[in-house]
Amino acid sequence: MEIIVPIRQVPDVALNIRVNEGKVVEDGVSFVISSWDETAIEGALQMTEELGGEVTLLGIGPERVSEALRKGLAMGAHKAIHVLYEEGQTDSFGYAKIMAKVMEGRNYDLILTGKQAQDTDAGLTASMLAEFLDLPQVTNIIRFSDLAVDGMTLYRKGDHGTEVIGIKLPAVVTVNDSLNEPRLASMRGIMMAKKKPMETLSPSDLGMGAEELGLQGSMTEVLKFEKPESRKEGERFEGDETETVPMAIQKLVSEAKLAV
Amino acid sequence: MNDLSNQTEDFSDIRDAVRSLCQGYPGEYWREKDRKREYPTEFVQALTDSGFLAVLIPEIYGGSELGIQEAAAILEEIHKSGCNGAACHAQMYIMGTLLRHGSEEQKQKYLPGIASGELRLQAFGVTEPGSGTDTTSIRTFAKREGDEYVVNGQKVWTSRAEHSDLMLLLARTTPKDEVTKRTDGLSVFLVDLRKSLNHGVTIRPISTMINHATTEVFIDDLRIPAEQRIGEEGKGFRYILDGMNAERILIGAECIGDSRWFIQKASEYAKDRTVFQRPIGQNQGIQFPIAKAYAQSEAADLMVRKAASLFDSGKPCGKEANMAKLLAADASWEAADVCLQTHGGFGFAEEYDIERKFRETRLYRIAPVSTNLILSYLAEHVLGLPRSF
Ligand SMILES: Cc1cc2nc3c(=O)[nH]c(=O)nc-3n(C[C@H](O)[C@H](O)[C@H](O)COP(=O)(O)OP(=O)(O)OC[C@H]3O[C@@H](n4cnc5c(N)ncnc54)[C@H](O)[C@@H]3O)c2cc1C
Repeated sequence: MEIIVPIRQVPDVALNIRVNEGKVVEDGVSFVISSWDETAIEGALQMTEELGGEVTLLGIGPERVSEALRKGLAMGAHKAIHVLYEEGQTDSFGYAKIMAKVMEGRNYDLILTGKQAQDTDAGLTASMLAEFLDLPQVTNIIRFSDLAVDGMTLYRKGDHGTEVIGIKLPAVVTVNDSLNEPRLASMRGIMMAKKKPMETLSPSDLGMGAEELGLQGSMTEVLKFEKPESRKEGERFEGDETETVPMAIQKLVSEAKLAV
Repeated sequence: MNDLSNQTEDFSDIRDAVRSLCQGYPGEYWREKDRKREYPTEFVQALTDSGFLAVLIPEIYGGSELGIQEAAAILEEIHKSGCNGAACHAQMYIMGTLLRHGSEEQKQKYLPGIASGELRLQAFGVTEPGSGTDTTSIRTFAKREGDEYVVNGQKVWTSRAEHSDLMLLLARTTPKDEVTKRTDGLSVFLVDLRKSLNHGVTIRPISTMINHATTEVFIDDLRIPAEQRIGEEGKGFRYILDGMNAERILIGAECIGDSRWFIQKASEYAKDRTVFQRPIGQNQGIQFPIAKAYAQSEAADLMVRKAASLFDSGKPCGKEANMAKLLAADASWEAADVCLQTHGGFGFAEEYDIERKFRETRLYRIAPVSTNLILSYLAEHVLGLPRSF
């Protein structure tokens, strides 16, 4: 089974993200693979371990994206495609367009990716890609079974339960992070990743001109970023609860205007 | 935080992988181990399984044949993540003596097992009750009897001996008063602790202010086959010296990791904690010590990197390795103190992990070599000042 896994590199949210004049400050930020995409890599590896075939990663963006791709290769993916591109501002539509171009003429049975990106939370790219490629799509899967090269059963998480869906391949599928626990890259994996093939393409290699890229190739524009207001420190009432509980209620009524 | 790590090769792939692994071992894990004085078996196993402890071993013996620079990146990242590499860092480098000075037969016999983690070689018996800083005065004596050596003596502070299958042992083979140079007449042996425990070797744990699995090792008529000696008899001191440079650089890297952890914690807390209606970090009295600790640890990091790159290119690095360890241990201690001070009373609460890291990082101004001894080495051997002892 040939699987392509588009991955996105995002700022590490475990670290402090700074915003300056409406823009995220990149200097000194470390970047990681968006966590849902890591789940997708793991899922793809499990599928190829069962059925054979290869996992190809696809990353779009500046030079640093190659680090995310190497990390995915260190986890066990077989090869990678890097569309090297100082993206400026690009929205989901813009990325899906580039991805669709990359897929042209390639052989794949499945495109597996995260249900959304960790930084934008948009969750649109995969659906748009399916549309451009005219492929069936299933989103937010938490399990798969009956794996075969021409189809499988997917368990999709909905609001009120799980949908069990059969699909024919090729298809675009997005994953929920409860699908699996992504494996850690081992030292051996890291060493092997250095020797695995990474194909680097520019947008012009894909026949794309400036009008299809960045803001021009996007349908929406992010005007600015704002950091959430930092939460005020809470108040702690210490002592006997027969005294502290009424004190807390009193405060809730007088300051938070809670009706009792 | 903007750091200087991009100056030389940064090994971001290795750092990322180590950081991801460390996320599975958060503060609670280390607090619990600390409270119970338990060995962090799960953490060590995870590092072993991922191959991080075998980076310095050549590929033909099953390792990844990387350099001290990569090993330093691994240990720095472990410490920067709030974890502690001391439980297993020696598995990385003690084998260096075997690798550089052992026979091909010895290497074939032991290195593959050490690379896979099946064999743990992470105990190094040098220090004795009567000689810590003054290594050449050790009294443990190995007397040759036919194909064997009979060893008697006592070691102290032999860390991880209870969690090690093999121990590298430094012993005298010629009495000090019979050699011309006091560094002569010492030999190194690879002791199989699995066979010798309670057959000549008794290990007693020492309880300390940190969770470090350190021990006393009593050696009574221990019989070691002569083939367990590494290299030539009497040249052991020279053999362990190059290993010591590796150790100093790696401990330096751990201290840099600690510094970064402390400085990040201190900065975050200084931004959050409000006193007199403003964040304490708005006061320069709080800012400056943190900024200074940051500058010191970045400077120390440069020396660690310099020493590591000299080591990897096979050039002499005694001076740099010693300075790296000196500056990094001072920087991490400074950062620890600033971090604790910034946290006020809360720094004493176990749940912040600061008091634990504070205790842990303090070790490195004493072990594996004390700050004073490094200063004396620099003064006498680098600056040519008169010898003091
Ligand atoms: C937790 C822990 C783990 C350890 N693990 C190991 C291990 O695995 N293997 C091992 O072999 N050892 C280990 N050690 C031992 C460590 O290397 C020694 O403690 C260290 O070398 C100092 O020796 P000492 O404790 O005997 O101090 P001493 O030699 O007694 O020195 C005491 C103090 O006096 C200072 N001093 C001594 N002479 C001079 C001088 N001429 N001028 C100025 N100052 C001087 C020293 O710097 C030191 O501060 C460990 C120690 C600890 C605490």
